[in-house]
This record gives sequence, structure tokens and C-alpha cells, in this order.
Amino acid sequence: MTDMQETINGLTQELRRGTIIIGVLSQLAEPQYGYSLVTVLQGKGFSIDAGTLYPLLRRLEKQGLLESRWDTDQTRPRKYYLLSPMGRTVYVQLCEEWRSMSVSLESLIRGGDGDGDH
Amino acid sequence: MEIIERYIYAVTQKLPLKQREEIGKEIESLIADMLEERTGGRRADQKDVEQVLMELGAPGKLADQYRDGSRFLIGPELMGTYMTVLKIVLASIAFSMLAVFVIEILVKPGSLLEHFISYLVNTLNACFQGFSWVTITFGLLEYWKTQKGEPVKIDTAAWDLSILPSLPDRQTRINRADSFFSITFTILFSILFISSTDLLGVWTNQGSQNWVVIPLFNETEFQRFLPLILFFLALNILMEGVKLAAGRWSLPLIGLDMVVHILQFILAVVMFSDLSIWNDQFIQQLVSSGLIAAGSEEHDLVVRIWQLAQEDLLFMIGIIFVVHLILRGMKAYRISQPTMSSGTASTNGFK
Repeated sequence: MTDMQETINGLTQELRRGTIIIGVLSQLAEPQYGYSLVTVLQGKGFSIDAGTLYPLLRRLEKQGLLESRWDTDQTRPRKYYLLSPMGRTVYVQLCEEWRSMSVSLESLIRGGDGDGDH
Repeated sequence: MEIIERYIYAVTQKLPLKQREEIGKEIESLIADMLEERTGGRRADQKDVEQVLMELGAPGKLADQYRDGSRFLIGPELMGTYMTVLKIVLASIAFSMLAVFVIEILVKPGSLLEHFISYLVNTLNACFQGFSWVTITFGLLEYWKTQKGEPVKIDTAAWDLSILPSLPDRQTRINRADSFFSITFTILFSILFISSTDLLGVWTNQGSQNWVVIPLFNETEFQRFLPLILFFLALNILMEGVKLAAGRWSLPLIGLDMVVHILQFILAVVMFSDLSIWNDQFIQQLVSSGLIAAGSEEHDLVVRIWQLAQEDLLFMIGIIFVVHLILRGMKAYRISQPTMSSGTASTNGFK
């Protein structure tokens, strides 16, 4: 039983891993710092570790999808991230991919279920 | 608080030098944000800090997340080739050491146990050497590969059916057994040349198990060439490694193989072009050891054979060399001929 639970957890994590990037990009039309992004995402039911998010933000910046700057005006310096022009285009494309993927997957799930168990 | 600095240090010390400061600042501001949320304005105490750090997780894991991609001494791409080369090198070493062991027992009878112990020690030593050098070589290859390579980027557009390698046929496949024997004999020769060149000669038993060797070569003359000979033996092993890694003959590989052989032939020409490399006392020593009697028919025959050998060795090496070149040339010709059934011809038809 616990074995099965572990398998499910592992697979769920794998599923989520692919969606994290879309989730993060979706919230960065306005500048955000890392921890505010964690809270915003969690508030919308999309939980993510700070330990996963911070390195991810750096990677996305390196890929040119995000821009960053340190804001030192406040009490503490914070690093703010924002979608780059390229990041915006990529985000729109990714959303399209996601929608078409979810439509076809949905139809697969319904078909496999024998239409009407749910 | 000190514990925070220690946590940040534990993460950043596992990261590349250039990124440490920036990432350290990021984590510091993250921890401050997490503390602020937890305490809601009141001053954070030790317990809050500890809980936040525990929530962030093990520093090693966080550092892993910050590093781009996984790091390998030898990555999955090279692992297969590495294992193959390692197996062949170790097998060659074990085989050569066994041969040396047997020869030593025959040549220097004495304590079998002593020979056996030195055999074990030497084999272990040589295997470690072989293992280290192969591993260092592949480690460097991996390092250069990752230094050059962009962070993982799969370029699907550049892929084309024509880049699929053709199946190796019997003509182009490189025989692993050949490489094994070649490496084994190269190691054996190296040991022989390094330990003592005067072992190359005629062995006579002077009774009471004392072996006397009448050397074929002039020791001092031969020593002059030793560095070059060893260099070529090393080159030979390297070449076998390259062949094993490639797995099949290609035109550049054949070119490389030919160049190595031409260089080896030039060395042979330089070594044997005059007679000073030979032991000029050879016949006298044969006579004085009592193997042949001076003035006998046997003596004349041996003298004739000795002279012929000195004069014609280079000629024979030359013939072997030319035959080798012709065989390689034929291989190159066969490879360069396009075959009708190859995949490229049919895919071009679809375009």
C-alpha cells in the first residue's frame, strides 16, 4: 500500500515538474521577488518549494526568458524577476501547447473510461 | 545570526566560485522573507530560524538544484566506450603479466613463492596504473566535452536520416580481439625493452641452470633508440584505444593508422640502415660459449645466416610494411565506394 502511494507520489511529482515553468511564467508579467512568487502561487493552490523555485528562476533568466534586478530601496535588498520580451512570446506559445495537450489528454481519459463513469 | 551564515556557506561552497556571492545573497534574502512571514513582524528567535532552515532542506540538495545539470566524471555518453576500453586494457595487462611471470619462472628458477608474490604485486600495480590512465583520459574527455557543449540543447531540426551511421560490415568493423593482442604484445615488448634489451638474443644453458644470453644487439646503440621505441609503443596503445573507441574503420582513421605505420617504418630504417646496432661480437661469443666450433661447416652457415639477417631484415620489414599499406589502401577504397543499398540513396529519392 505504501509502495503504491510512493509510486503515485513520484509520478505526480513528475507530472507537476513540467507544469511548474508555465505556472511561474504566468505570474511574472509584473515584477515579483522570489518569496512573493511562492506565496502567490501557493495562494492559488499551486504549491512549490522555495528551494526549487529560486534555482529555477536563475535558470529561466539564463535561458533569456526572465530579466532580473536587485531592488535595494527597501529595508532589505530583494531580487525581482520579470518576463523578458522573449519570455512573453515563449509563455504564450507554452500556453497554447498546454491547452492542446490538455484537450487531447482529456479526450483520452474520457475515451478510456468508457464514457460516463464520472 | 551565525546559523544562517553557516547554512548559506554550506550551500554556496558546493557551487562554482563565480555564482557564490549572488546565490548567497539570494538565499539570505529568501531566509529573511521566510522568517518575516513566520513571525509576522515580531523579532525572530533561534527556534524560528531553525524551523525555517529545516524547511529549506538539506544544503546539499539546495546546491544540487542550483547547479545546471548533473556532473559526471564520465557521463552516460562515454560510459560504454570507457567500459570497453577499460576491460580490454585490464585484460591485456593481466595477460602480459602472466606471460612475464611464466617467462621469469623459466629463466630464473628459484623460489616459486617469491616469483608468485612479485607477480601478484606487479599485476595489481599495473592494473591500477592502467585503470588510472584510462579513467584520467576519459575524465578529461568528459571535461572538455562539457566545457565545449552548450547546456543541454536538443537540436531536432538538424537531424537527418543521412547522418545515421551505416551498419558496420565485416570489412569495416574493427576486431576487438586484434586490439587485445596488439595491446598485450605492445606491453610485453615495452617490459622487455625497459627491463633489459640484452635479453634479446641466443640463450644457452651453461649447465647448473645458469643461462647465458648472447645478445643480438649492441646494447649502447640500442639504448639510443629506446626513447623513440617506447614512444612508438605508447603511440601503438593509444592508436588501439582510438580504434576501439571508433569501432569501425573510417577514412580518417585509416589515414591516421597509415601515418603511424609510416613513422614506425622510418624509425626501422634509421635503426637498421647501418650495422652498428647489431652486436659485432655475436659470432665470437657464440664460439666462445661453445655453441658452435670455429672453422666447422656449422660455423660458416651461421655466419652466412647472421650476415643475411643483418642485411635483409630491413628488406623484410619493408615488405611487411608495404603489404600493410596496400591492405589498408584497399580498405579505404572499399569504404569510399558508395554502396547501392545505403540509406542515403533511398532517402534522397523521397526529397
